Amino acid sequence: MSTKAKVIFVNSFKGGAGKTTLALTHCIDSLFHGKEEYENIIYMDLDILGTGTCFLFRDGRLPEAKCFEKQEAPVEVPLTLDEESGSIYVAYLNPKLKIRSVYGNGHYVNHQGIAAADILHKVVKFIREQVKEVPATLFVLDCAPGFSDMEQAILKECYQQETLGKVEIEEDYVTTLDSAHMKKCIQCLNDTIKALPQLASRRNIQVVLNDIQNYSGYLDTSWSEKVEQGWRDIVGKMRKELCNDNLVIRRWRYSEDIAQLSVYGSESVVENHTEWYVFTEDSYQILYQKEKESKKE
Amino acid sequence: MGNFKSFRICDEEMYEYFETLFYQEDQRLPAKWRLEVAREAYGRTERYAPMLLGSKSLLYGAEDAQKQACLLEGFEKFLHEYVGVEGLEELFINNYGVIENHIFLEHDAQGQSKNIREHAKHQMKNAYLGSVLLLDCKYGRDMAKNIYQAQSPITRYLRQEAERIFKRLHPRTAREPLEVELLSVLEEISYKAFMVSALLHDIGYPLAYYLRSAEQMTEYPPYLRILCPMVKVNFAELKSCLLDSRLFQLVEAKEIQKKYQEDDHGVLSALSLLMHFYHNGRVYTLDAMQRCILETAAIAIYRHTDRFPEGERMVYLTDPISYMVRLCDDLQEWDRFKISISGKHNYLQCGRCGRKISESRGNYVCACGQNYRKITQIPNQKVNYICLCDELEIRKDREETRIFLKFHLMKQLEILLEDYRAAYRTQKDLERVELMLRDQTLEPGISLGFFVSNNPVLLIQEMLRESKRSRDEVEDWMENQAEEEKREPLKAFWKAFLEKEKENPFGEQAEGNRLRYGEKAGKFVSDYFGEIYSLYGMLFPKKKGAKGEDEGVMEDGG
Repeated sequence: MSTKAKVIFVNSFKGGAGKTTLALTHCIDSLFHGKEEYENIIYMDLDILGTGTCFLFRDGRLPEAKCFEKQEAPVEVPLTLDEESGSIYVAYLNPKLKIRSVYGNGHYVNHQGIAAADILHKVVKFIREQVKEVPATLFVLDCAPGFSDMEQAILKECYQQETLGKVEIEEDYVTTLDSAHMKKCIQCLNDTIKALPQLASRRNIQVVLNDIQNYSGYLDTSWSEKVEQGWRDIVGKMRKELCNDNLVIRRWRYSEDIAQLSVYGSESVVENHTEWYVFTEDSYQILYQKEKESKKE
Repeated sequence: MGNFKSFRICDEEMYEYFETLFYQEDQRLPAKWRLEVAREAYGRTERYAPMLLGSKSLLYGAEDAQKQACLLEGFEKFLHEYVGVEGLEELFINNYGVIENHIFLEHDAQGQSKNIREHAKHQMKNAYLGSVLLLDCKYGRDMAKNIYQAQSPITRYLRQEAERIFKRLHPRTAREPLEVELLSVLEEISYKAFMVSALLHDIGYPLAYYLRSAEQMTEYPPYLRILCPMVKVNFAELKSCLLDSRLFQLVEAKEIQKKYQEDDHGVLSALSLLMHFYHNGRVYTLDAMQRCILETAAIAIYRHTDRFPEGERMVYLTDPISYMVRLCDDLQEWDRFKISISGKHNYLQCGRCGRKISESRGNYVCACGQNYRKITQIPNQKVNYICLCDELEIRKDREETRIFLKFHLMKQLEILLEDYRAAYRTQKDLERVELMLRDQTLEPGISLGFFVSNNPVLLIQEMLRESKRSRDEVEDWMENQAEEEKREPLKAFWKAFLEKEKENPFGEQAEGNRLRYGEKAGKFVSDYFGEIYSLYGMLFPKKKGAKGEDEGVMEDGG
């Protein structure tokens, strides 16, 4: 059992990159393959621009009455993989946000800043209390695309907890292989690094290249060398352009099952297909990780 | 009344009112009142949001706390865009709520509650009531006309300032301003000064509380040499800072000092406002309009706690702005609660016979035989929110403005069981307000309508009158109760009521003689509370929600 909490911050700079899928995969993979490292695994959907979380679980599992703004607590979701069972805890925002253009209750229409401050306060308070009560907790935060004040504030709070030795942090930024998306990711990521200069040397940034178009799968083997060269080029460019010492770059292999059923299927709820939300060595590869010099005594 | 306007004054309407006024380019706020010079963005409410939401949630609940935070931001926007005095927002967007949570629980040395009522939200409600009167009922214009007559030092000051402001706004105009032009400036000053006064008139309450606590501390031996004994600044020091202020020029320093020595919250609020701008010299950087608003607001805030000898009262003509602040303060009765902690249980109605269930040592027994036992192991007491007034209604026509204060009839019955003289005190307070309204130069005049009583028979009569149901209807309803267990107690109650109606053993409508009438009135209410509740439910049925379920508490028909 871990003695420290972990926060995985999952973000992107464009919608539809696979952020929520990645976040849920972290949770479920840890639940079933994590060797009971964490006592509580908490998925927090903080996408105030329009959350899709409630669609991913069975009907009635995540009712409006139990949303995080009201309960300030997550809902337990039991899951089964093969013959093993366990639970993750899901903290989600009001499902009605999906159909509104403004965040929060009706009276917040002209007061979006207060609405955001309100939810931010609740999130930070919840994380602090959980870390204190159950140190062996994994938090996976699924954020709104971008790096707004809320994301910055949560990140600062988490790194503050890290300073106190209570938490370790991983920041995952998901991008597809679309060149414009990758360029935007690099540019925005560098902006976030500049926005928090005091944290520059401590941030553990992981860029996740979501091979959602299945470049690898579509092409036949005669192209495999070119594909591999392509990956090396991408990684090289990112290493060169991203100003972070702790950078890790991963490739996340395309899942045909999820993609197909999310297009025309209706049975893609997490509880029914838990097996899609785990990593394999092949599906989630490290393409680059800076070697850390070991400290000699 | 012929053609009249009607306004419902309650918290829900208040939130809606200011969202419209501040965020929807509402025509009621003249565009020319908006400042031309853009300033840096405001954002204090947003920065303080977690504290505001947290401290207010305790007593008001999460949703109302959110609405209050939104309203505070609206006021911040108004001050930023229409008043432009940087620093004013610091005086009302702060930790008042945190301190107020302590103040509510204040008890004296004998263990009696100090009956402190809520103030932070009350300030916003004052602003709301006044805004409706000044903008929607056009009293702002009437105030300007009265000020223009310059019949007192303060109105002469305001008129002079209006002339100065006009000349600054129209530097190329060589002539003296016309009456209509001056009235326009005076109307603007009146509204803005009123709003600032309303929002800040009770900021001194935490200071008064602190001074009371300090006094207690000095009697507490361990404080010696640990805490500084000098808590309150010497008046002479304040006076020397504020000699330039209009307050010290118009009011005798001795008078101000007397209030200061008494820790009067009005003077503490006024001095706090002034010191906030005089202490660092910021006041001298304000333009003529801003300074006028500030100085006038300080006077109104100071005056809102003035006490008058018998037969005297505040005069509208001599100081319309202070008068309006005082009037709105006195009339802001709706949802203005005080807290009381009580070991008494809730009143429960038996589901079988409709009577009130009697409680004794954790056992709840009804006359029909139903009984319940309290099994909570952890001892507890109840926190009551004592407020009898639900809302106001303003009806205005050319001849008169009538303000109805709607006091909840069932709550009045309930309160007489614990505080028999509550209605009597409320009656006396409102009679003082009526005196204040009589024979003033307000046009049109304002009068009050209200019904408060601790006479159970009169309260039940009022229920019948307001519901517009006949006695025959009531008797039919009782007769048609399907279950005999419910029918018989109702009939017994009705019989007792009719007998008491003939005897009138409960004294006046708002009776002050607790010794003579209190116990009798209390016994009647206690004996028949369940039945009266059932009658009330029949006379004023609950509104149904969208799904057919009952929604909210029962409301008098009004």
